[in-house]
Amino acid sequence: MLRALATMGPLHAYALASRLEQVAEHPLMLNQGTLYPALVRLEQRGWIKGTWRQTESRREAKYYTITPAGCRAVEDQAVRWRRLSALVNRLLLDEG
Amino acid sequence: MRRFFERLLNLLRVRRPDHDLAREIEAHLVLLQDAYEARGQSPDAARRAARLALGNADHVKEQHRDARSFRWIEDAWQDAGHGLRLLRRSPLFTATAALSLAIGIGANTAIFTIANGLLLRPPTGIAAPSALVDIGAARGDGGLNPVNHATYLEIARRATSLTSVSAEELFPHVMGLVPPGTANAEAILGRSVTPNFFSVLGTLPSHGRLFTDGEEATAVLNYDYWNRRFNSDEGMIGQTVRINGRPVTIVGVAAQDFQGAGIQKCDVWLSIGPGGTSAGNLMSRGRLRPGAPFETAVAELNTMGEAINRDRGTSSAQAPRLSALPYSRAGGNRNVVLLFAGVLMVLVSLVLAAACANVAGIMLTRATARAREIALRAALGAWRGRLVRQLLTETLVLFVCSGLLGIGLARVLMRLALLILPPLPASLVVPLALDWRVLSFALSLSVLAAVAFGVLPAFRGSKVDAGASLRDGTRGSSGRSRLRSALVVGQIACSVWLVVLAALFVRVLRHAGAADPGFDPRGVDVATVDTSVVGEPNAGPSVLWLTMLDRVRQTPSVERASLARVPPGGFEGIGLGGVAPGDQPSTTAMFSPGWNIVDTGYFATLRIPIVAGRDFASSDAAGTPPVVVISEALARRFWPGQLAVGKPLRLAVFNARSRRTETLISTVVGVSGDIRSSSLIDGLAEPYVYLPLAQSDAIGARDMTATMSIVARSRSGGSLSAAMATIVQGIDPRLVLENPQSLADAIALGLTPQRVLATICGIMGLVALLLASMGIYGVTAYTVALRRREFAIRLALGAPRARVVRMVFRHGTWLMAIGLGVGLTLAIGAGQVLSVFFYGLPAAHVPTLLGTAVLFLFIGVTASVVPAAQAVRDGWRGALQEDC
Repeated sequence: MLRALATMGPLHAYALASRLEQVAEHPLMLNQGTLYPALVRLEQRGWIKGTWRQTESRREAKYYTITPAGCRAVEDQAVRWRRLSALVNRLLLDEG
Repeated sequence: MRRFFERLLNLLRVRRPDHDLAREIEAHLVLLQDAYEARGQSPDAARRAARLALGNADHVKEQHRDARSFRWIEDAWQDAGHGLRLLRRSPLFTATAALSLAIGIGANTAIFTIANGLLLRPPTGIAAPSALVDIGAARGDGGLNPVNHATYLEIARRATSLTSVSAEELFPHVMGLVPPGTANAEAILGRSVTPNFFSVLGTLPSHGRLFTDGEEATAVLNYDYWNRRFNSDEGMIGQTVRINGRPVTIVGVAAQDFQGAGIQKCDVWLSIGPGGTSAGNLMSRGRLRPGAPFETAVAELNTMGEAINRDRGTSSAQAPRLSALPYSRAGGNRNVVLLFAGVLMVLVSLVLAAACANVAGIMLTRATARAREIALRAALGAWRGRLVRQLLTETLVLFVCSGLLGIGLARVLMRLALLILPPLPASLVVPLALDWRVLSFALSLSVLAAVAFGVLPAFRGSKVDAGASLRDGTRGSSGRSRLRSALVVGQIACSVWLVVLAALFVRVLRHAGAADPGFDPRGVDVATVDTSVVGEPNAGPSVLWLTMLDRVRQTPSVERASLARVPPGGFEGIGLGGVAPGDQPSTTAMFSPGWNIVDTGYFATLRIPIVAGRDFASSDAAGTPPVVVISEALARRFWPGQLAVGKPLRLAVFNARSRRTETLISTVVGVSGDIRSSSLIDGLAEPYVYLPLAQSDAIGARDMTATMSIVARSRSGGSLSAAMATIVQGIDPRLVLENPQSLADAIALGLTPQRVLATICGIMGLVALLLASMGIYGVTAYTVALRRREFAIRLALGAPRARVVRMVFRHGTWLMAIGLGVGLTLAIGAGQVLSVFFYGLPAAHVPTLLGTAVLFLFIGVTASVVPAAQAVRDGWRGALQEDC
């Protein structure tokens, strides 16, 4: 979710859900409602920030923007993942 | 971390996030619907598809709530609100339950507050009190007795685990202070302390300075006294006043918050010079070296005591063993206070237990009445744990409210407690503040009681068969009824226990009042005079005492009068040393008796019989062969079956002047009747040795006779204090009369523990009795309600009303009988234990036990009358129709 917000800019929950469905190769795997608990957690950590705005279709929606702290968190997570996967790869290759 | 605070914050703002989420979900649905419509679906179909894609909105809201705050706290908050509403809805139940719990919690809190003030609360104006230790001679009950100045000096010189050791007189004394420019003495409370007293405590001066090492004839004023008497006049510092006749320079005023290290009020602290003091009773106090554990100090003092005695040449059989206790305001009596507070707390906990059982019983009944509500909640998907939590939270709300009420009640109880205490000889400073310890004690007690007595009813209450309960309405299970009955039995047992104990303590008081103390206190007045005021002790006192006594004896209202170092009924005693029969080998172990120094006519004044030989006479003067009068108990101990008069008695007494233990032989000239002098509590006749005042010089006890008590018997029984005060002031205006009181009052003071216990047990017993009757009424009424249909059928089938009434009665009486049995057994057991500690307390007093049994059976029957009448009043038609 953070990555989507980082690359695509501010998104509302529906757009975010659609984007995730696109990225994940199994569309409609989850109910879109399950997004909200995750959003509230990220917001409480200060990684994203929500503001009410109007959409292009002049509907009201809450747009989520990634904060600088969120960007740092993405970086951190990516670094950690790369390190972990490199380690796993090395282990697998060594065994092979 | 940030998330944690956000979640906490969300506990407070429940509405806004809910509203926000609802708005967002609605917006989400609209966007989804737009998208579906754009794909060509009809508005209705698009709306449906949107809802499907989003999922169960309520479920989303639940999950959102879980994620954004602490759900269980939010639930507990809601349950507590619900509990409060329920309590408001039944004010009668709430008032009774809260009041009975508050009495239990309040009584416990009051006792804890006093114990806290005495033992736990660090005194103000003292630095790092946890590093301080009280030092004294070990006592059998784990307490400490004072030591003399020579021993203190030895401790101070030898201690290595302590950085510094100070000492102060055991009690503050009334002294006569003559302010500059006046001639008359004013009574003040003064206490002699070693110059390092303040530095060991780490106390600071508010004005001037405190004592410096090695100085004497200086004084430090208490801030309040300085403010009250001298209007905070800084000019007083450096002035010389006369205290007890000696010029003393005021060097400073102690810090405003410093009220001494003990509990007795003190106006002036006087420095003890290097020459020591006449006072033989000093409590010593030391500060632990940083890092040195308390146990090291105790071990060091134990061995030090032996070393000191070895060096002084006393045999270890009579040597005082030195020991230490962690510093507390209660000083050497720390363990006694702890024990007494413990006993009191157990007693008042009984009433708390009775109150809790009562409330738990009512809670169970209410759970039955609420079976429908609980069943509905269960049917709507509330799981069992959630229901238990709800019921428990409701109980908790009631108990915590009662706890808060109890804290208020504790303040009232402590004020009432002051009314039942006899007037104390010295004013006390015990901080009875409501600090965090008291608050957390009261609240933890409430929570603990709520959990202990709330868990079972909560589990029972939450166990419902949803279908049956909803169908049948409010009908309880027999299991619940059994639990209620058990609670009532427990309650009765507690009440019986308290009532019996109260009756026993009242008997102790009566017994002590009626017991023969061995002397006749009626019409006797006692007052102490300190003659060290009047110049050099070498020439003064003896003549002074004789003049004083002559004038008292000449007063028309005085029948007889004498002087004594230790009048009966007081708490103070003098320890002079040991004695052994003089006609046996000198290796015989010494025995430490009670000592007294008296003038002629002492035995006649107090009407203590001389059973053999004679009283002291004026011929037993200084320079004549030393004589003693001993009590019957000592005569029996040393010369059983023989006449003690004429026998030699070997005395090993510590001579304060030569600082050595000296042995001398005295002749027994008389044997007096035994007296239960200082304690009617233990009833033990302490073996006594009486020395004649005129010969006190010969044994080096001259310094001790600077302070003596006048004992005078009035002809009319009226008070003699005014007459004595006039005589004393007439002899020398610098003299003041200390603690004039009737001997009967002085003895009553010794019975304070019994009086306190009797009163507390009595009040608590009454409360418990009331609770027990409420409990029996409640459980009987409840059983009647449960068996209403059964009774109706019996009546319809022709059972006589009397039989149904009997059935109801049988249940109530049965519970009473079991409770009574348990309670009486416990009371007899407790009586056995207490009779060891309290003289005259009968372990099992049959009339008391029988009386209690009759009282409780009567209450049991009375409490069952109303429910029994209700069972048959409406007849069977009403009850059966209700069910159709």
